[in-house]
Amino acid sequence: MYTQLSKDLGFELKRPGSLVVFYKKTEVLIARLLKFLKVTGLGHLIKPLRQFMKVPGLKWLNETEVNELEPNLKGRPIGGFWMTTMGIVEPHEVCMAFAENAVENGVEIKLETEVLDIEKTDDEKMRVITNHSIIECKYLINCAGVWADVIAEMVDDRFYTIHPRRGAIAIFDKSRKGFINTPCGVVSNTDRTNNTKGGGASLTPEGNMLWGPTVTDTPFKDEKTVEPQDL
Amino acid sequence: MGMVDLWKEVVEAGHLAAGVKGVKNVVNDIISKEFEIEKTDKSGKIQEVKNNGLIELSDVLIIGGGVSGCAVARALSQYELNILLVEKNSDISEEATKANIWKHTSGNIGKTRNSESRIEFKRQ
Ligand SMILES: Cc1cc2nc3c(=O)[nH]c(=O)nc-3n(C[C@H](O)[C@H](O)[C@H](O)COP(=O)(O)OP(=O)(O)OC[C@H]3O[C@@H](n4cnc5c(N)ncnc54)[C@H](O)[C@@H]3O)c2cc1C
Repeated sequence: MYTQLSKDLGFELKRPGSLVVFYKKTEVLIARLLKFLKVTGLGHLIKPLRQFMKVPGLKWLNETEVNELEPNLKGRPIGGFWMTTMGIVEPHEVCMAFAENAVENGVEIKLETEVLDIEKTDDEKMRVITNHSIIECKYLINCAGVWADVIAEMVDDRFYTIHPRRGAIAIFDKSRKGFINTPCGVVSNTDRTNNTKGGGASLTPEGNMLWGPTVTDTPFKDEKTVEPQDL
Repeated sequence: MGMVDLWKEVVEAGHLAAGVKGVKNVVNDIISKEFEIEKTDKSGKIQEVKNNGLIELSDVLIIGGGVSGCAVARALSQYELNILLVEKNSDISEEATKANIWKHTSGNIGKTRNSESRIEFKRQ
């Protein structure tokens, strides 16, 4: 999908892949099991694995192959799992491209227009009150990011609340270009009290290396503080 | 509903509520002593807009000009629909979508799109 979109809309897309490296024998065993499930097709029968099994270009690497691909990794990984088709884009550029094409196709974008409240009308429409006017619409689509719960609450939908987290990522100068070849990480710790959302060393489409992110719960939706200890 | 000491306890309560199988519409209404979250009163502004009575019509209204809102707008723009997207900031892609951008590090944020193709979006 993104390969076509990047051609149609003219944004940069690179596919350096993504590498998960193993330092523990148990991780290697789990990876072998996944490979068996993939090769035999049995994985498609297991619902939580179905999506993963469809990913094209999965490669299981042994110790030598991992170290050849990424010679600068700390310690000596004993194996790895490479998702060769993983792609990276600049989300800002993608967003601009979508918006430009939408406007070309007749969509109207109103900036500096904040939704303050929403009322339902008798004929199943919605009256959206913004800081400038009332917009009456048949369908309302909530894409308000971390504020989506605030919008949902305006129509009495209290299904969820969003508890934001802030994080920091270290960005390296281009002089470190080539230090890693593919975004790399270790098997994620899914414990939610963990101080990372997963990640590791990554790359921008231009080749800058990124490390992180950290993650800290915050009650403030627009908090972007970076603390010295984050780095 | 209730009050706890720390924000992390509020978050934990949210996780516990959301983790109960089969339970829907659970909203964590717990507040913490640690932080006071101010809510700005918008009722005056809402009343002012209602009094002005300016009403615009659209088939679809999309709230939010991040990558999700713009992708939805573009996908729906192939249909015969009157589509409006509203964004509270003075440009699109100002929040999470822009926080996840690295080009400023290499000093070329202005070059993210070819300036000739950059369409000016309508400001109020
Ligand atoms: C540092 C960082 C790294 C990330 N890395 C990755 C990654 O590697 N891979 C990945 O897939 N994702 C990543 N993400 C996540 C991804 O960037 C976000 O999920 C995505 O950009 C969210 O887009 P969105 O449109 O949903 O939200 P946003 O971009 O936040 O857009 C929501 C918009 O709604 C507007 N809005 C809110 N309330 C109102 C209102 N009342 N009225 C009008 N407008 C309103 C806001 O102003 C905002 O512009 C990362 C995010 C960050 C911050």
